[in-house]
Amino acid sequence: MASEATGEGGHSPLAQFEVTKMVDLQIAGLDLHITNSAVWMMAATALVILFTTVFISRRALVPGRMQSLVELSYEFVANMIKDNVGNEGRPYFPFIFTLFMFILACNMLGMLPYSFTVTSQIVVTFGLAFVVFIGVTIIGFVKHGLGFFKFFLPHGVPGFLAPLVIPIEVLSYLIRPVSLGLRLFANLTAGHTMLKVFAGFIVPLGAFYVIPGVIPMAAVIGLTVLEFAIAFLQAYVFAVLSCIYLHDAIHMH
Amino acid sequence: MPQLQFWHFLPQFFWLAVCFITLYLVMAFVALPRIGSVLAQRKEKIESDLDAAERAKAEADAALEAYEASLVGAREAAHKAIGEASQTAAKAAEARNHELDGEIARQIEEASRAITASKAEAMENLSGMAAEAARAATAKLVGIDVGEADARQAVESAKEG
Repeated sequence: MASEATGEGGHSPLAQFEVTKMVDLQIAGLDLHITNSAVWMMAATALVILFTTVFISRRALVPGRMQSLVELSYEFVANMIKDNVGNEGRPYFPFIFTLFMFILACNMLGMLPYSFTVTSQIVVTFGLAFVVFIGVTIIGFVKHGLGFFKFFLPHGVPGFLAPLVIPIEVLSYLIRPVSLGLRLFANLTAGHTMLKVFAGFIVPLGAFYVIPGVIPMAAVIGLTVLEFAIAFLQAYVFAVLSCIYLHDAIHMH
Repeated sequence: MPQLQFWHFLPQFFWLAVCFITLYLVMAFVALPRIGSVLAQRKEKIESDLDAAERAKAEADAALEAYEASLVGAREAAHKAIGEASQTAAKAAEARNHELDGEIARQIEEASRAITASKAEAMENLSGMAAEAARAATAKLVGIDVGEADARQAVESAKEG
């Protein structure tokens, strides 16, 4: 496996994704160990709770810097739902907000040195994606009953094309959670791997000669900036796509 | 890839569910309603302030209008007062002129009467003096003493002739 050491005393760039047990825990015969991943999930949860409750507690009429940030995130998600789902999306606002803030917090915590990026774990991203997918499908059937199956035959499509269109539509619908989960996982994993790979070049090249060591150093600085952008962008993309799927379930195209 | 080791799938998913549900509950029932109420409160405050400002502006406009109306009224009143005053002044002046005219006419009449009287008197005195002179002259020239009555008659006839 790639997690083996590469020699020279360095670690594999993938070693940062290693899940380790922190506390052994077994409930009803199930392994429910608290892993480093679980610890960082809890940290993200605590961070979001603190962020959204502490800074608003003064309820200032003229908000300070942090309160503005809280209000900004609230209005950002509220507008995202209003634009992509419409007024029928209001009941799902807490869910989308939680989703966005949780992913954003996990991504941002992953940017700390020596931290663990929860969203680079395929179980986590697929877990979130399937929650969205199953939830949206249930909402679709609750709103439209069996009429929700009409979703797979867009109107305006001539009848003789139905045998071709329906399988394509069904497949594209079923592939949604996979693409949703995989996008977040792949972006975070690739970005953090790349950071590690370039960072790994700095010391060997710098030891060889100073100037070549500067080049990967500059690359790492640039990539770090890029990773911060990706950390925000992927949380946004995940939330927006969830909104779009919700829109499809409520409005049928 | 360390992400694909199956042993940690279940524990990770379990703790993900715990964290996510906790976060959802806190967001849905504590944090978001609070943030929403702060935003609503601010919106309400801004709207009520705007309303108050609008009301104050309307009041100021009304006050300005009233002020302008009173200004126009005062100007009109002043015009009227000036007109009345000048009219009464003109009337008074006319009356006074009339009175003066009467007085002057009376004085002229009086004066002319006095002149006529004094002229007649002078005429009378003149006739007497002429008769006296004529009598004295005849006495000196001719040596005849004409009677006073005759001398006066002669003077009268000479005056008429």
